[in-house]
Amino acid sequence: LKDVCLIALTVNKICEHLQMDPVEAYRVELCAVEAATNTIRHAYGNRSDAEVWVTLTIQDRKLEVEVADTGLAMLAAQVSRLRDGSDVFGFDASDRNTLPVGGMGLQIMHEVMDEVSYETDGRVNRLRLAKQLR
Amino acid sequence: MRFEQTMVGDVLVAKVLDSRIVADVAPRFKHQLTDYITGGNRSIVLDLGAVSFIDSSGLGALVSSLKVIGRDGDLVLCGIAGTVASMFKLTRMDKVFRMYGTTEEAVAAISSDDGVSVEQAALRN
Repeated sequence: LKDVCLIALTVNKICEHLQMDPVEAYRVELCAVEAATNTIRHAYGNRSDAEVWVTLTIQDRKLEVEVADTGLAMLAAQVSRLRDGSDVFGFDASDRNTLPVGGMGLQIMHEVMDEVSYETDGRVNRLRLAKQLR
Repeated sequence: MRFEQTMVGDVLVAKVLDSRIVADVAPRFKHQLTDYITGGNRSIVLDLGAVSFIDSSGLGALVSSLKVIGRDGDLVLCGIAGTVASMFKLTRMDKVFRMYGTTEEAVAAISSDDGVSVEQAALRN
């Protein structure tokens, strides 16, 4: 997990190079971090020898982040939450008991990115996030 | 995680000295905040002025601490950079945590609460 910062720094620099708005850049970096963290935690069970491949593609001001792994595939319920969204942020702000302490990463990716998809061929799992830059 | 602590009356002001609160340090971050609370601190100002990035794990640790401190205590934030504030807005946590520009403002606000939590304040308003 400590190496996720390498992905973050790389994405951050690319966003800076693309002269993105600071908030938009933060959110893209955040999604890359959430995706990589999610993969290490769930596909590899926090194993320190986990290999995660992150590919960034920029074409016609469309930024795509692909996070690939060879660990356990995401559960169908998680894929559904990523693709369709959830009500994790629909809490009652005045009632601390309703506040979420986890499960926020998938919803962040769902809300920030224009396109999210997940596919697996039984060997390699690929999470793709895409955003049209302004 | 590195913190710097000072007491201002009954208020603990804890400044986070690291720039990133993410998954690999979130457990230590949460542990430190829990230690402050179980150590008897009921009013805590967390200075995030040096923090340039927080992810959902870091946010989860903050929310956990808010739950641990309970209804008779409060944890407020200060010094949050614009981009980090956008993370709170994105997740609606800006409706949960009280945020102030400076530690002085945060200490003044939490001191004047006289033990009233944000939940009770919300009910009052």
